[in-house]
Amino acid sequence: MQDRIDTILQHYNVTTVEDIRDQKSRADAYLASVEIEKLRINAEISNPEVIHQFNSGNFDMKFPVYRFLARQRWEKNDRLLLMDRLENMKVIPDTLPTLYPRVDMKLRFPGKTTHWIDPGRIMSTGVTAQAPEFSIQIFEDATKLYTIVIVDPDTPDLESDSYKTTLHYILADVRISGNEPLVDKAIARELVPYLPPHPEKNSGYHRYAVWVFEQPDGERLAVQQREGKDPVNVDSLLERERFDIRLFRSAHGLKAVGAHFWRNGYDSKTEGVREKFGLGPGNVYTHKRFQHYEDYRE
Amino acid sequence: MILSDNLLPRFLRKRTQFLFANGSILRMANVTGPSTFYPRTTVDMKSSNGSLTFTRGKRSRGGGELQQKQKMVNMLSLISPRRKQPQRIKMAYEDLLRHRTVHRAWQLVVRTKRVDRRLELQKQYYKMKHACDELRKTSQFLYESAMQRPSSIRFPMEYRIPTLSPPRRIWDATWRPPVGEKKRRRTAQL
Repeated sequence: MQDRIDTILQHYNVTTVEDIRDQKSRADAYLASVEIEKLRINAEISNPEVIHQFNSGNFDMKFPVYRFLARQRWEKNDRLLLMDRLENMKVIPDTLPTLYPRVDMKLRFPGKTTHWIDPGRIMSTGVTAQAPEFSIQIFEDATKLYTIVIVDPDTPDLESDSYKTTLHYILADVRISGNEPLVDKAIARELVPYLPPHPEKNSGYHRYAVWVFEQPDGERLAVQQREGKDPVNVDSLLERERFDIRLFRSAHGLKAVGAHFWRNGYDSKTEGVREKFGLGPGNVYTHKRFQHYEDYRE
Repeated sequence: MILSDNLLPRFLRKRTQFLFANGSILRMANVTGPSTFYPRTTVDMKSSNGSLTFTRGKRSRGGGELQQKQKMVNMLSLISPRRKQPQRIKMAYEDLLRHRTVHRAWQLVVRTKRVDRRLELQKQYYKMKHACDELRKTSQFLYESAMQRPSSIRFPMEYRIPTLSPPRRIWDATWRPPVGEKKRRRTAQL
């Protein structure tokens, strides 16, 4: 294997892969690194010892074999399930247009018995009153910064007789590496504190979509002011009542790499949550549809 | 004389159907003579000491036609490839690891052979193709005669199929073709 790697490097007249980027181009460096990684994977993939280590969970993500196996396992089941749920529940066109998942994102709410929830699960409002715990598993040998955004696209908007998106949570500058997938909130920066879900009675099940964005170049989250275009007002972006996630993404130059969601409806615990967090009484919707909203508004 | 069931008054008719809880119906025929019908409702009423022995008939409405159709369906399903899969491998964890290693090694051997054979055939094909291209440049007539496909008629139909041992009568000098209307000639002229 090593002699094959040497032949690739000799082809470019370099000693390491990083030198290819300086000499030739980023594309060439990328292709060469992919080739070398394939060779490294193929050298170890037949080894049953390696497979056993992977199955028992004690492995280091710095080895390309384990990254490959972890990614393969994710792609076989969890990724399919996630995409199926996102598409069937129409989270994908309603928040961002689509998703090409790159990370394995997991979500759970703290409590007595906690498991990672499967996407689209209907939760109790009492359980979701606490901020969730996240786990972002990346399949690269790097340490990057991520932003987590929680959004509810199903809040009723009476003025437009439609729905609007409310913002529930933004956590920026989350440092994630292959071996440390659990999100450490102490190091991260909470732009918008967690607002617990409080769906209104008879407004159906609200979807609470969690989006994971990769921050550009591993830098702190900042609005990318473009030259020649209108300056973006930072305060207007983080409006809770009417949040535009697409504008938020483009203004900060973020790349969507993962998503998740759960559902909440009005249940026995919702009034308690409203009281505890001072959210005021909500509307009660009826099945009867009024002709003119203005006539019945107080 | 066989008395029809309907002519008997009701109180004289015997109870002929007993329905059990599991769904099977015990049927008795009211004929004293031998039954010539399909034996699902036969009753063997012969006995020496007067007690009766019955056979059980399963409840079936459609009768013979439906069962025949079901048999046909079963036979067709045996022949068709629908839902026929290799058996699921049930192994212990360590055995699965060994199986994986062996399976991968064998797949590699098979793949190597397949790739080599494909490469060989490819080389042969392109050698032929390039040769024919050169021939075309050289002479159109030779190229076209080379491109002609041979006749699919190899042997006349009347030829005797070779056998291991000779026939009892090797040659019949007095044989003449049967007199009848002439059939269309399908064989090559010899």
